[in-house]
Amino acid sequence: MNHDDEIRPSGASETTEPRVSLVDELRALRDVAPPASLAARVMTQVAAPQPFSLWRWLRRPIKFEVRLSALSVLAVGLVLTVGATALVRGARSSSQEGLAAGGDEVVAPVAGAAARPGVSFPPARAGHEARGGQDRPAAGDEDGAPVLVRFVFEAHGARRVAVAGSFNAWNEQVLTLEDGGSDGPNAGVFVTTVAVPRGTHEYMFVVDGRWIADPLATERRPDGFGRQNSLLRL
Amino acid sequence: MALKPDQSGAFLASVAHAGTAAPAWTARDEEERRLIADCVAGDPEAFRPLVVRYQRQAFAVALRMLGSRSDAEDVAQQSFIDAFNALDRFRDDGRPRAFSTWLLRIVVNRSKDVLKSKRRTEQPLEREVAGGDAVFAHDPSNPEAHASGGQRRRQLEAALLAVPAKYREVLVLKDVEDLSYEEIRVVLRLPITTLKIRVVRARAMLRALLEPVPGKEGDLR
Repeated sequence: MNHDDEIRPSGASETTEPRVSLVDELRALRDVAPPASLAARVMTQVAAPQPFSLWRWLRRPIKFEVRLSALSVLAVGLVLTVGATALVRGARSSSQEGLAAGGDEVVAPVAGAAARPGVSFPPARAGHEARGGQDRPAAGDEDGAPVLVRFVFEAHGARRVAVAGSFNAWNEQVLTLEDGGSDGPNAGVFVTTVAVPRGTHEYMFVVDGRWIADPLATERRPDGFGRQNSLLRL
Repeated sequence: MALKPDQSGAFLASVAHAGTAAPAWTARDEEERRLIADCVAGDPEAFRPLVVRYQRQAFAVALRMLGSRSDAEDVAQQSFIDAFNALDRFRDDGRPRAFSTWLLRIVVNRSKDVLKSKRRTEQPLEREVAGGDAVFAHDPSNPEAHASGGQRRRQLEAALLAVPAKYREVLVLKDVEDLSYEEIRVVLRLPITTLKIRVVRARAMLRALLEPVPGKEGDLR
């Protein structure tokens, strides 16, 4: 008997038929024999080779079993901890080395030069190779996205240093370099990072209104006015 | 046989917690989970026990929905194949009998599709009894049929097919297949209160279809 047979509105109770008989009669209708061949036909279709689907293949779960003793778990944990620590330390030291190298490049005194400009990539772009005072993207990294370029210029006592070039329509008012501080190792070192489109660009620094070519640039090109612009290839 | 408006509120309140208890997770559910995992991992033969286990139910539901053995065979077969092809998207979420309710949902939906396609080309069966005549009621001029349980069963089958599909589906799942309201809720994706109302109304419709023709004597019951 159905467990909710007693649940019904009185509006549906006019009949004199015992409800149990109708429900029991309905229950008897479930005695139906499926076709004997149904399972076989289903399995024939299911087992038939299906066309390869990359999406299905990628979604297919991979089952594997790993059995470890407690000692093995401890050993694996130790190895992972040591590896992670070494990785973090390595990342930190390389970051510091990068900063130190950049600082050397910027602040190292150069005979006859009052200022020591340079162009370099930030540590985040460490995957790019460096040539001379400029970093270039590694071969094959040509996704068309702009490249972050860090412009560095050391000019102690300068009030304002900007960079202008073909990548910003030679506007010396926009890309102002920030001073590293009034004292300390980075005092007088002006730095800024600019997203520059890939290609070949000419640029110059503007120090307190004076246009100065990058002395570390490996390539230069005449500007048509008797001077030379620095060349940046990305 | 519709619910009286002044009784609907009390009815809803009284049925709110009846018959809704979900079954517990069993070893059978665990086995089905494992079989499904094997199927997804590339072993189609693991699907066979599931087909064997649920072929009766899938076929019976389709048959009661459609009234045609050949249509029911097609629907049951295609439902199993649909289920197999979608096993990688099936999630039981820890629900007991999740596979069977999922399969029944496919069966019911496919059955509805067949009903819709037939409705375009054929006269719907329910219209034949739309006038309210108890066309399946007992004919007292045939005492042999009166004594026949097979005849009564056929009357019941025909009457069930005369019930509109949205009521027939709940009657099939609830009274024929004895699913819990929670399972039917998953199959049909309807609120349990709605399901209970439909069950009561469907039974009333069925009872009306089985009532004797006015003016004639004799009753099966």
